[in-house]
Amino acid sequence: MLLNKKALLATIPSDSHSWNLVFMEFFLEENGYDVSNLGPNTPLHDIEKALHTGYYDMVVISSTNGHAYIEAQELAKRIRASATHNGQLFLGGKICTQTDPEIIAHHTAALKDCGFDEVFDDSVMNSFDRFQLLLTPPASMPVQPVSAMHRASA
Amino acid sequence: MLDFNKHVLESAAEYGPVVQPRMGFSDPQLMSQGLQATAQANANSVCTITLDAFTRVNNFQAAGRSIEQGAALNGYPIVNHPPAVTRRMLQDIEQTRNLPVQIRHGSPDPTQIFKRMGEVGVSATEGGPVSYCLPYSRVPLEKALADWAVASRSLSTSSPHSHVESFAGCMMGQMCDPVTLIALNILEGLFLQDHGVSTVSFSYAQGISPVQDLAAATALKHLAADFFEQGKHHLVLYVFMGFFPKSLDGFRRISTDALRVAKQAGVQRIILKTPVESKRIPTIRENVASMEFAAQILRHPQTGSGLPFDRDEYRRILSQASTLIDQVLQLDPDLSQALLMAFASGLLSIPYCLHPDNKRTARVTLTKDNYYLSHANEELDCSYSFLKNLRRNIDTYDLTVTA
Repeated sequence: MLLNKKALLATIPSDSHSWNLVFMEFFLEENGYDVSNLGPNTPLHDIEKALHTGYYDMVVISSTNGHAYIEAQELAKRIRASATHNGQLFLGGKICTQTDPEIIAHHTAALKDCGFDEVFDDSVMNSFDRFQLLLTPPASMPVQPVSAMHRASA
Repeated sequence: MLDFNKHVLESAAEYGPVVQPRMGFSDPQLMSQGLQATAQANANSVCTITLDAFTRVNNFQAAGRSIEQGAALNGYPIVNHPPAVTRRMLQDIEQTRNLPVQIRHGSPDPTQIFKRMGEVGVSATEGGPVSYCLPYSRVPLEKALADWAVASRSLSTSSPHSHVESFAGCMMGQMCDPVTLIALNILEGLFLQDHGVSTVSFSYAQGISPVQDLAAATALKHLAADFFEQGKHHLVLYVFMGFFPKSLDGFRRISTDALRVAKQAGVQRIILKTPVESKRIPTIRENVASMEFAAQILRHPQTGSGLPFDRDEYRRILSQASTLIDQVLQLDPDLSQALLMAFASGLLSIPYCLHPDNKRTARVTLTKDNYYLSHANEELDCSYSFLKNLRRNIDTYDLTVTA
Protein backbone atom coordinates (compact mmCIF):
# COMPACT_ATOMS: atom_id res chain seq x y z
CA MET A 1 0.00 0.00 0.00
CA LEU A 2 1.20 3.47 -0.84
CA LEU A 3 1.90 5.37 2.37
CA ASN A 4 1.13 8.89 1.31
CA LYS A 5 -0.12 10.32 4.60
CA LYS A 6 1.81 10.78 7.80
CA ALA A 7 0.55 10.20 11.33
CA LEU A 8 2.20 11.02 14.63
CA LEU A 9 1.20 8.56 17.33
CA ALA A 10 1.80 9.35 21.01
CA THR A 11 0.33 9.28 24.50
CA ILE A 12 0.32 11.57 27.55
CA PRO A 13 3.42 11.84 29.77
CA SER A 14 2.04 9.77 32.69
CA ASP A 15 0.62 6.93 30.59
CA SER A 16 2.78 3.81 30.44
CA HIS A 17 0.48 1.56 28.39
CA SER A 18 1.84 0.27 25.07
CA TRP A 19 -0.57 -2.26 23.54
CA ASN A 20 -2.86 0.53 22.41
CA LEU A 21 0.13 2.17 20.69
CA VAL A 22 1.35 -1.10 19.10
CA PHE A 23 -2.12 -1.78 17.78
CA MET A 24 -2.64 1.78 16.52
CA GLU A 25 0.67 1.58 14.68
CA PHE A 26 -0.49 -1.55 12.81
CA PHE A 27 -3.92 -0.06 12.29
CA LEU A 28 -2.88 3.34 10.95
CA GLU A 29 -0.30 1.74 8.66
CA GLU A 30 -2.98 -0.51 7.18
CA ASN A 31 -5.06 2.59 6.58
CA GLY A 32 -2.33 4.14 4.50
CA TYR A 33 -0.44 6.16 7.07
CA ASP A 34 3.29 6.33 7.54
CA VAL A 35 3.39 6.22 11.37
CA SER A 36 5.87 7.74 13.80
CA ASN A 37 5.19 5.96 17.08
CA LEU A 38 6.65 7.97 19.96
CA GLY A 39 5.93 5.21 22.50
CA PRO A 40 4.59 5.23 26.07
CA ASN A 41 5.03 8.14 28.52
CA THR A 42 5.58 10.56 25.63
CA PRO A 43 7.03 13.84 26.94
CA LEU A 44 5.16 16.89 25.58
CA HIS A 45 8.48 18.18 24.38
CA ASP A 46 9.01 15.14 22.12
CA ILE A 47 5.65 15.73 20.45
CA GLU A 48 6.43 19.41 19.94
CA LYS A 49 9.85 18.56 18.57
CA ALA A 50 8.41 16.02 16.13
CA LEU A 51 5.84 18.53 14.87
CA HIS A 52 8.48 21.19 14.57
CA THR A 53 10.81 19.06 12.47
CA GLY A 54 8.30 17.16 10.35
CA TYR A 55 4.90 17.40 8.73
CA TYR A 56 2.00 15.19 9.89
CA ASP A 57 -1.49 14.96 8.45
CA MET A 58 -2.79 13.63 11.71
CA VAL A 59 -1.78 13.50 15.36
CA VAL A 60 -3.30 10.64 17.36
CA ILE A 61 -3.07 10.63 21.15
CA SER A 62 -4.02 7.28 22.64
CA SER A 63 -4.34 7.05 26.42
CA THR A 64 -5.87 4.54 28.81
CA ASN A 65 -4.65 5.44 32.28
CA GLY A 66 -7.44 7.90 33.10
CA HIS A 67 -5.24 10.99 33.31
CA ALA A 68 -5.89 12.35 29.81
CA TYR A 69 -8.56 14.72 31.10
CA ILE A 70 -5.75 16.42 33.06
CA GLU A 71 -2.71 16.12 30.79
CA ALA A 72 -4.17 16.12 27.28
CA GLN A 73 -5.66 19.61 27.76
CA GLU A 74 -2.20 21.10 28.15
CA LEU A 75 -0.96 18.97 25.28
CA ALA A 76 -3.66 20.17 22.86
CA LYS A 77 -3.22 23.80 23.88
CA ARG A 78 0.51 23.61 23.27
CA ILE A 79 0.15 21.89 19.91
CA ARG A 80 -2.42 24.42 18.72
CA ALA A 81 -0.58 27.44 20.16
CA SER A 82 2.70 26.58 18.46
CA ALA A 83 1.01 26.60 15.03
CA THR A 84 3.30 23.78 13.86
CA HIS A 85 0.34 21.47 13.34
CA ASN A 86 -2.80 22.55 11.49
CA GLY A 87 -3.94 19.01 10.65
CA GLN A 88 -6.21 16.70 12.54
CA LEU A 89 -5.72 16.15 16.26
CA PHE A 90 -7.50 13.20 17.89
CA LEU A 91 -7.63 11.70 21.35
CA GLY A 92 -8.87 8.21 22.10
CA GLY A 93 -9.02 5.69 24.92
CA LYS A 94 -10.10 6.16 28.51
CA ILE A 95 -9.93 9.88 29.17
CA CYS A 96 -10.75 9.88 32.91
CA THR A 97 -11.06 7.54 35.88
CA GLN A 98 -14.89 7.65 35.77
CA THR A 99 -17.43 5.86 33.60
CA ASP A 100 -20.32 8.27 34.15
CA PRO A 101 -21.34 9.39 30.61
CA GLU A 102 -22.06 12.92 31.86
CA ILE A 103 -18.58 13.29 33.33
CA ILE A 104 -17.04 11.87 30.14
CA ALA A 105 -19.10 14.32 28.03
CA HIS A 106 -17.96 17.18 30.26
CA HIS A 107 -14.27 16.25 29.88
CA THR A 108 -14.73 15.65 26.15
CA ALA A 109 -16.10 19.18 25.70
CA ALA A 110 -13.24 20.67 27.72
CA LEU A 111 -10.66 18.74 25.67
CA LYS A 112 -12.22 19.85 22.39
CA ASP A 113 -12.15 23.45 23.62
CA CYS A 114 -8.41 23.01 24.10
CA GLY A 115 -7.91 22.00 20.46
CA PHE A 116 -8.83 18.36 19.83
CA ASP A 117 -10.91 17.86 16.69
CA GLU A 118 -12.54 14.81 18.17
CA VAL A 119 -12.33 12.75 21.38
CA PHE A 120 -13.12 9.03 21.37
CA ASP A 121 -13.66 7.74 24.88
CA ASP A 122 -14.61 4.09 24.77
CA SER A 123 -14.84 3.19 28.46
CA VAL A 124 -18.62 2.86 28.27
CA MET A 125 -19.37 2.73 24.56
CA ASN A 126 -17.45 1.61 21.51
CA SER A 127 -16.34 4.79 19.83
CA PHE A 128 -13.46 3.14 17.99
CA ASP A 129 -15.56 2.35 14.93
CA ARG A 130 -16.37 6.05 14.65
CA PHE A 131 -12.64 6.78 14.52
CA GLN A 132 -12.14 4.04 11.94
CA LEU A 133 -14.79 5.60 9.68
CA LEU A 134 -12.93 8.90 9.87
CA LEU A 135 -9.90 7.33 8.24
CA THR A 136 -12.07 6.73 5.15
CA PRO A 137 -10.41 3.67 3.59
CA PRO A 138 -10.66 3.21 -0.18
CA ALA A 139 -14.08 2.06 -1.35
CA SER A 140 -12.65 -1.29 -2.46
CA MET A 141 -11.67 -2.12 1.11
CA PRO A 142 -14.67 -3.11 3.23
CA VAL A 143 -14.77 -1.48 6.65
CA GLN A 144 -14.42 -4.18 9.24
CA PRO A 145 -15.38 -2.74 12.62
CA VAL A 146 -12.64 -3.29 15.13
CA SER A 147 -13.86 -3.35 18.70
CA ALA A 148 -12.53 -0.87 21.19
CA MET A 149 -8.87 -1.43 21.91
CA HIS A 150 -8.22 0.87 24.81
CA ARG A 151 -8.98 -1.57 27.52
CA ALA A 152 -5.52 -2.58 28.61
CA SER A 153 -5.12 -3.04 32.31
CA ALA A 154 -1.60 -4.34 32.17
CA MET B 1 8.17 -3.72 60.85
CA LEU B 2 6.78 -7.03 59.63
CA ASP B 3 8.77 -9.34 57.37
CA PHE B 4 6.68 -9.56 54.19
CA ASN B 5 8.41 -12.67 52.78
CA LYS B 6 8.23 -14.54 56.10
CA HIS B 7 4.57 -13.67 56.50
CA VAL B 8 3.71 -14.90 53.00
CA LEU B 9 5.69 -18.15 53.38
CA GLU B 10 4.23 -18.95 56.78
CA SER B 11 0.63 -18.07 56.11
CA ALA B 12 0.69 -19.79 52.71
CA ALA B 13 2.04 -22.95 54.37
CA GLU B 14 -0.71 -22.82 56.97
CA TYR B 15 -3.74 -21.55 55.01
CA GLY B 16 -2.87 -21.89 51.33
CA PRO B 17 -1.94 -19.15 48.84
CA VAL B 18 -2.12 -15.55 50.04
CA VAL B 19 -4.38 -13.29 47.98
CA GLN B 20 -3.64 -9.65 47.27
CA PRO B 21 -5.53 -6.84 45.55
CA ARG B 22 -4.03 -4.11 43.38
CA MET B 23 -5.54 -1.28 45.36
CA GLY B 24 -4.64 2.39 45.47
CA PHE B 25 -6.54 5.61 46.20
CA SER B 26 -5.30 9.19 46.31
CA ASP B 27 -7.18 10.11 49.49
CA PRO B 28 -5.42 8.86 52.68
CA GLN B 29 -8.70 8.19 54.44
CA LEU B 30 -10.01 6.08 51.56
CA MET B 31 -6.61 4.33 51.28
CA SER B 32 -6.76 3.49 54.98
CA GLN B 33 -10.28 2.13 54.62
CA GLY B 34 -9.02 0.02 51.72
CA LEU B 35 -6.23 -1.47 53.84
CA GLN B 36 -8.63 -2.21 56.70
CA ALA B 37 -11.15 -3.80 54.33
CA THR B 38 -8.42 -5.97 52.79
CA ALA B 39 -7.32 -7.08 56.25
CA GLN B 40 -10.87 -7.86 57.34
CA ALA B 41 -11.82 -9.75 54.18
CA ASN B 42 -12.70 -13.37 54.70
CA ALA B 43 -9.52 -14.47 52.94
CA ASN B 44 -5.83 -15.10 53.61
CA SER B 45 -4.90 -11.61 52.42
CA VAL B 46 -2.01 -9.17 52.42
CA CYS B 47 -2.44 -5.45 51.85
CA THR B 48 -1.46 -3.27 48.94
CA ILE B 49 -0.87 0.41 48.43
CA THR B 50 -0.65 1.11 44.71
CA LEU B 51 0.88 4.48 43.86
CA ASP B 52 -0.44 6.90 41.24
CA ALA B 53 0.91 7.43 37.73
CA PHE B 54 2.42 10.87 38.50
CA THR B 55 4.46 9.47 41.40
CA ARG B 56 5.53 6.58 39.18
CA VAL B 57 7.24 9.00 36.80
CA ASN B 58 8.55 11.23 39.63
CA ASN B 59 6.24 14.10 38.68
CA PHE B 60 5.56 15.16 42.27
CA GLN B 61 4.52 18.64 41.19
CA ALA B 62 1.60 17.28 39.15
CA ALA B 63 0.65 14.92 41.98
CA GLY B 64 0.69 17.84 44.43
CA ARG B 65 -1.42 20.02 42.16
CA SER B 66 -4.00 17.25 41.83
CA ILE B 67 -4.16 16.80 45.61
CA GLU B 68 -4.71 20.55 46.05
CA GLN B 69 -7.45 20.59 43.44
CA GLY B 70 -9.05 17.45 44.85
CA ALA B 71 -8.72 15.65 41.51
CA ALA B 72 -8.84 11.85 41.84
CA LEU B 73 -5.50 10.21 41.03
CA ASN B 74 -5.26 6.56 40.01
CA GLY B 75 -3.28 5.66 43.15
CA TYR B 76 -1.77 6.86 46.43
CA PRO B 77 0.79 9.69 46.07
CA ILE B 78 3.11 8.47 48.84
CA VAL B 79 5.81 11.10 48.31
CA ASN B 80 3.38 14.04 48.45
CA HIS B 81 1.29 13.00 51.44
CA PRO B 82 2.89 13.90 54.81
CA PRO B 83 5.05 10.97 56.08
CA ALA B 84 3.24 11.02 59.44
CA VAL B 85 -0.10 10.34 57.73
CA THR B 86 1.23 7.32 55.82
CA ARG B 87 3.18 6.06 58.85
CA ARG B 88 0.06 6.11 61.02
CA MET B 89 -1.93 4.29 58.35
CA LEU B 90 0.75 1.57 58.07
CA GLN B 91 1.22 1.20 61.83
CA ASP B 92 -2.50 0.83 62.22
CA ILE B 93 -2.68 -2.10 59.86
CA GLU B 94 0.51 -3.78 61.09
CA GLN B 95 -0.34 -3.49 64.77
CA THR B 96 -4.08 -4.08 64.81
CA ARG B 97 -4.21 -6.66 62.02
CA ASN B 98 -0.67 -8.03 62.06
CA LEU B 99 -0.54 -7.81 58.28
CA PRO B 100 2.27 -6.47 56.08
CA VAL B 101 1.70 -4.02 53.25
CA GLN B 102 3.35 -4.05 49.82
CA ILE B 103 3.95 -0.79 47.96
CA ARG B 104 3.26 -1.16 44.24
CA HIS B 105 4.56 1.60 42.01
CA GLY B 106 5.76 0.75 38.49
CA SER B 107 8.65 3.22 38.55
CA PRO B 108 11.84 3.00 36.47
CA ASP B 109 13.51 5.19 39.11
CA PRO B 110 12.03 4.41 42.52
CA THR B 111 14.71 6.26 44.55
CA GLN B 112 12.30 8.83 46.03
CA ILE B 113 9.61 6.22 46.61
CA PHE B 114 11.99 3.83 48.41
CA LYS B 115 13.39 6.69 50.47
CA ARG B 116 9.89 7.59 51.59
CA MET B 117 9.15 3.91 52.30
CA GLY B 118 12.07 3.92 54.73
CA GLU B 119 10.74 7.06 56.41
CA VAL B 120 7.24 5.68 56.88
CA GLY B 121 8.32 2.18 57.91
CA VAL B 122 7.40 -0.17 55.08
CA SER B 123 9.91 -2.50 53.41
CA ALA B 124 8.09 -4.59 50.80
CA THR B 125 7.70 -3.47 47.23
CA GLU B 126 8.03 -4.70 43.65
CA GLY B 127 9.39 -3.97 40.20
CA GLY B 128 12.90 -4.27 38.83
CA PRO B 129 15.41 -2.42 36.65
CA VAL B 130 14.31 -4.20 33.46
CA SER B 131 10.67 -4.98 34.20
CA TYR B 132 9.82 -1.39 35.16
CA CYS B 133 11.96 0.18 32.48
CA LEU B 134 11.35 -1.54 29.16
CA PRO B 135 7.60 -2.02 29.02
CA TYR B 136 6.50 1.06 30.93
CA SER B 137 8.95 3.88 30.42
CA ARG B 138 11.28 5.60 28.00
CA VAL B 139 14.16 5.81 30.45
CA PRO B 140 17.37 4.31 28.97
CA LEU B 141 17.97 0.82 30.38
CA GLU B 142 21.44 1.87 31.52
CA LYS B 143 19.94 4.64 33.67
CA ALA B 144 17.24 2.36 35.09
CA LEU B 145 19.89 -0.18 36.13
CA ALA B 146 21.95 2.54 37.84
CA ASP B 147 18.91 4.08 39.56
CA TRP B 148 17.59 0.72 40.72
CA ALA B 149 21.01 -0.14 42.15
CA VAL B 150 20.95 3.02 44.28
CA ALA B 151 17.27 2.64 45.22
CA SER B 152 17.65 -1.04 46.18
CA ARG B 153 20.64 -0.20 48.37
CA SER B 154 18.67 2.53 50.15
CA LEU B 155 15.71 0.20 50.69
CA SER B 156 17.95 -2.49 52.10
CA THR B 157 19.62 -0.13 54.58
CA SER B 158 16.30 1.21 55.85
CA SER B 159 15.05 -2.19 57.01
CA PRO B 160 16.34 -5.68 57.78
CA HIS B 161 13.30 -7.07 55.93
CA SER B 162 13.65 -5.38 52.57
CA HIS B 163 11.64 -7.29 49.98
CA VAL B 164 11.27 -6.75 46.24
CA GLU B 165 9.10 -8.81 43.95
CA SER B 166 10.49 -8.95 40.41
CA PHE B 167 7.80 -7.88 38.00
CA ALA B 168 9.55 -9.73 35.17
CA GLY B 169 6.79 -12.32 34.91
CA CYS B 170 4.46 -9.63 33.62
CA MET B 171 6.51 -8.09 30.80
CA MET B 172 3.90 -6.35 28.61
CA GLY B 173 1.19 -8.28 30.47
CA GLN B 174 0.67 -10.86 27.76
CA MET B 175 2.07 -12.30 24.51
CA CYS B 176 5.46 -13.46 25.80
CA ASP B 177 7.06 -16.89 25.86
CA PRO B 178 7.43 -18.09 29.51
CA VAL B 179 11.10 -18.80 28.78
CA THR B 180 11.82 -15.07 28.54
CA LEU B 181 9.70 -14.21 31.59
CA ILE B 182 11.35 -16.83 33.77
CA ALA B 183 14.92 -16.07 32.73
CA LEU B 184 14.37 -12.37 33.40
CA ASN B 185 12.84 -13.09 36.83
CA ILE B 186 15.95 -14.93 37.94
CA LEU B 187 18.26 -12.28 36.46
CA GLU B 188 16.37 -9.46 38.19
CA GLY B 189 16.32 -11.43 41.43
CA LEU B 190 20.11 -11.78 41.25
CA PHE B 191 20.43 -8.03 40.57
CA LEU B 192 18.24 -7.15 43.57
CA GLN B 193 20.13 -9.58 45.81
CA ASP B 194 23.46 -8.13 44.61
CA HIS B 195 22.27 -4.70 45.71
CA GLY B 196 21.38 -5.73 49.23
CA VAL B 197 17.69 -6.65 49.07
CA SER B 198 17.08 -9.31 51.77
CA THR B 199 14.31 -11.37 50.19
CA VAL B 200 12.77 -11.52 46.74
CA SER B 201 9.75 -12.96 45.03
CA PHE B 202 9.28 -14.11 41.45
CA SER B 203 6.25 -13.35 39.38
CA TYR B 204 4.46 -15.13 36.60
CA ALA B 205 1.41 -13.79 34.77
CA GLN B 206 -1.30 -16.15 33.60
CA GLY B 207 -1.22 -16.79 29.87
CA ILE B 208 -3.74 -18.32 27.53
CA SER B 209 -3.37 -21.97 28.56
CA PRO B 210 -3.51 -23.12 32.21
CA VAL B 211 -1.53 -26.20 31.15
CA GLN B 212 1.35 -24.09 29.83
CA ASP B 213 1.04 -21.89 32.94
CA LEU B 214 1.39 -24.89 35.26
CA ALA B 215 4.50 -26.05 33.37
CA ALA B 216 5.94 -22.52 33.47
CA ALA B 217 5.21 -21.83 37.15
CA THR B 218 6.76 -25.18 38.07
CA ALA B 219 9.86 -24.41 36.02
CA LEU B 220 10.12 -21.01 37.72
CA LYS B 221 9.83 -22.64 41.15
CA HIS B 222 12.62 -25.10 40.38
CA LEU B 223 14.93 -22.49 38.86
CA ALA B 224 14.35 -20.10 41.76
CA ALA B 225 15.26 -22.89 44.19
CA ASP B 226 18.50 -23.47 42.24
CA PHE B 227 19.57 -19.84 42.46
CA PHE B 228 18.13 -18.59 45.78
CA GLU B 229 18.24 -19.72 49.39
CA GLN B 230 15.22 -21.52 50.76
CA GLY B 231 13.07 -19.35 53.02
CA LYS B 232 14.36 -16.20 51.33
CA HIS B 233 12.03 -16.14 48.36
CA HIS B 234 8.53 -16.98 47.20
CA LEU B 235 6.43 -17.16 44.04
CA VAL B 236 3.63 -14.88 42.87
CA LEU B 237 1.03 -15.61 40.24
CA TYR B 238 -0.87 -12.81 38.52
CA VAL B 239 -4.37 -13.27 37.25
CA PHE B 240 -4.20 -12.35 33.54
CA MET B 241 -2.50 -8.99 33.04
CA GLY B 242 -3.51 -8.44 29.44
CA PHE B 243 -6.82 -7.54 27.89
CA PHE B 244 -9.29 -8.72 30.44
CA PRO B 245 -12.65 -10.43 29.91
CA LYS B 246 -15.58 -8.07 30.34
CA SER B 247 -18.30 -10.38 31.59
CA LEU B 248 -18.76 -11.55 35.16
CA ASP B 249 -18.60 -15.15 33.99
CA GLY B 250 -15.42 -14.41 32.06
CA PHE B 251 -13.89 -12.97 35.23
CA ARG B 252 -14.97 -16.00 37.24
CA ARG B 253 -13.57 -18.50 34.76
CA ILE B 254 -10.25 -16.80 34.05
CA SER B 255 -9.65 -16.24 37.78
CA THR B 256 -10.54 -19.85 38.58
CA ASP B 257 -8.00 -21.09 36.01
CA ALA B 258 -5.30 -18.88 37.55
CA LEU B 259 -6.13 -20.09 41.06
CA ARG B 260 -5.92 -23.72 39.95
CA VAL B 261 -2.47 -23.10 38.45
CA ALA B 262 -1.34 -21.32 41.62
CA LYS B 263 -2.52 -24.05 43.94
CA GLN B 264 -1.21 -26.92 41.83
CA ALA B 265 2.18 -25.29 41.24
CA GLY B 266 2.60 -24.40 44.92
CA VAL B 267 2.64 -20.64 44.35
CA GLN B 268 2.48 -18.73 47.66
CA ARG B 269 0.85 -15.44 46.62
CA ILE B 270 -1.71 -14.42 44.01
CA ILE B 271 -2.42 -10.94 42.66
CA LEU B 272 -6.09 -10.69 41.84
CA LYS B 273 -8.25 -8.79 39.43
CA THR B 274 -11.89 -7.79 39.68
CA PRO B 275 -14.85 -8.10 37.30
CA VAL B 276 -14.69 -4.36 36.48
CA GLU B 277 -11.03 -4.54 35.44
CA SER B 278 -11.67 -3.84 31.74
CA LYS B 279 -13.64 -0.69 32.53
CA ARG B 280 -12.34 1.20 35.52
CA ILE B 281 -10.48 1.21 38.84
CA PRO B 282 -12.34 -1.11 41.24
CA THR B 283 -13.92 0.11 44.47
CA ILE B 284 -12.93 -1.23 47.89
CA ARG B 285 -16.00 -3.47 48.03
CA GLU B 286 -15.27 -4.89 44.59
CA ASN B 287 -11.71 -5.69 45.67
CA VAL B 288 -12.95 -7.40 48.83
CA ALA B 289 -15.51 -9.40 46.87
CA SER B 290 -12.76 -10.56 44.53
CA MET B 291 -10.53 -11.67 47.45
CA GLU B 292 -13.38 -13.55 49.10
CA PHE B 293 -14.31 -15.19 45.81
CA ALA B 294 -10.70 -16.31 45.33
CA ALA B 295 -10.51 -17.63 48.90
CA GLN B 296 -13.62 -19.68 48.32
CA ILE B 297 -12.28 -21.17 45.07
CA LEU B 298 -8.93 -21.93 46.75
CA ARG B 299 -10.70 -23.81 49.55
CA HIS B 300 -12.49 -26.03 47.05
CA PRO B 301 -10.76 -29.44 46.87
CA GLN B 302 -11.02 -29.58 43.07
CA THR B 303 -8.88 -26.46 42.71
CA GLY B 304 -5.84 -28.40 43.90
CA SER B 305 -5.86 -31.03 41.17
CA GLY B 306 -6.97 -31.87 37.67
CA LEU B 307 -4.68 -29.82 35.41
CA PRO B 308 -2.50 -32.11 33.32
CA PHE B 309 1.24 -31.63 33.74
CA ASP B 310 2.92 -31.16 30.35
CA ARG B 311 6.36 -32.58 31.07
CA ASP B 312 7.73 -31.73 27.62
CA GLU B 313 6.72 -28.08 27.92
CA TYR B 314 8.12 -27.95 31.47
CA ARG B 315 11.45 -29.34 30.21
CA ARG B 316 11.51 -26.94 27.24
CA ILE B 317 10.94 -23.91 29.48
CA LEU B 318 13.38 -25.07 32.15
CA SER B 319 16.20 -25.88 29.75
CA GLN B 320 15.78 -22.84 27.48
CA ALA B 321 15.47 -20.46 30.44
CA SER B 322 18.55 -21.99 32.14
CA THR B 323 20.53 -21.61 28.93
CA LEU B 324 19.42 -18.01 28.52
CA ILE B 325 20.35 -17.14 32.11
CA ASP B 326 23.78 -18.75 31.71
CA GLN B 327 24.39 -16.96 28.41
CA VAL B 328 23.57 -13.59 29.99
CA LEU B 329 25.65 -14.23 33.12
CA GLN B 330 28.66 -15.16 30.97
CA LEU B 331 28.61 -11.82 29.14
CA ASP B 332 30.11 -9.83 32.02
CA PRO B 333 30.85 -10.33 35.73
CA ASP B 334 28.85 -7.15 36.40
CA LEU B 335 25.19 -8.13 36.01
CA SER B 336 24.08 -4.62 34.97
CA GLN B 337 26.64 -4.68 32.19
CA ALA B 338 25.63 -8.21 31.19
CA LEU B 339 21.95 -7.22 30.97
CA LEU B 340 22.79 -4.18 28.83
CA MET B 341 24.84 -6.31 26.47
CA ALA B 342 22.12 -8.97 26.29
CA PHE B 343 19.48 -6.43 25.24
CA ALA B 344 21.83 -4.61 22.88
CA SER B 345 22.62 -7.84 21.03
CA GLY B 346 19.00 -9.04 21.02
CA LEU B 347 19.87 -12.13 23.11
CA LEU B 348 17.15 -10.82 25.42
CA SER B 349 14.22 -9.26 23.58
CA ILE B 350 10.69 -8.47 24.68
CA PRO B 351 8.10 -9.02 21.94
CA TYR B 352 6.17 -5.88 20.88
CA CYS B 353 7.94 -3.68 23.45
CA LEU B 354 8.41 -0.16 22.01
CA HIS B 355 11.35 0.84 24.21
CA PRO B 356 14.34 2.09 22.17
CA ASP B 357 16.72 -0.27 24.05
CA ASN B 358 14.64 -3.29 23.12
CA LYS B 359 15.45 -4.78 19.73
CA ARG B 360 12.06 -5.51 18.25
CA THR B 361 13.23 -8.88 16.94
CA ALA B 362 11.13 -11.42 18.82
CA ARG B 363 7.52 -12.08 17.94
CA VAL B 364 5.13 -14.48 19.57
CA THR B 365 2.76 -17.02 18.10
CA LEU B 366 -0.04 -18.94 19.70
CA THR B 367 0.26 -22.68 19.12
CA LYS B 368 -2.78 -24.85 18.53
CA ASP B 369 -2.72 -25.64 22.26
CA ASN B 370 -2.84 -21.90 23.05
CA TYR B 371 0.77 -21.86 24.23
CA TYR B 372 2.83 -18.70 23.78
CA LEU B 373 5.92 -19.50 21.73
CA SER B 374 8.73 -17.13 20.64
CA HIS B 375 9.87 -17.08 17.09
CA ALA B 376 12.56 -14.95 15.62
CA ASN B 377 11.32 -14.60 12.04
CA GLU B 378 10.11 -11.20 11.11
CA GLU B 379 6.70 -12.61 10.25
CA LEU B 380 4.34 -9.76 9.54
CA ASP B 381 1.39 -9.42 11.85
CA CYS B 382 -1.52 -7.35 10.67
CA SER B 383 -3.68 -5.35 13.03
CA TYR B 384 -6.41 -7.94 12.74
CA SER B 385 -4.30 -11.03 13.55
CA PHE B 386 -2.46 -9.11 16.25
CA LEU B 387 -5.74 -8.02 17.78
CA LYS B 388 -7.08 -11.55 17.57
CA ASN B 389 -4.10 -12.92 19.52
CA LEU B 390 -4.26 -10.03 21.95
CA ARG B 391 -7.95 -10.70 22.54
CA ARG B 392 -7.70 -14.48 22.70
CA ASN B 393 -8.55 -14.65 26.40
CA ILE B 394 -11.48 -12.27 26.03
CA ASP B 395 -12.85 -14.47 23.28
CA THR B 396 -12.15 -17.68 25.18
CA TYR B 397 -13.52 -16.65 28.56
CA ASP B 398 -16.28 -14.23 27.61
CA LEU B 399 -17.74 -15.90 24.57
CA THR B 400 -17.27 -19.65 24.94
CA VAL B 401 -20.29 -21.21 26.57
CA THR B 402 -19.48 -23.30 29.65
CA ALA B 403 -20.29 -26.94 29.05
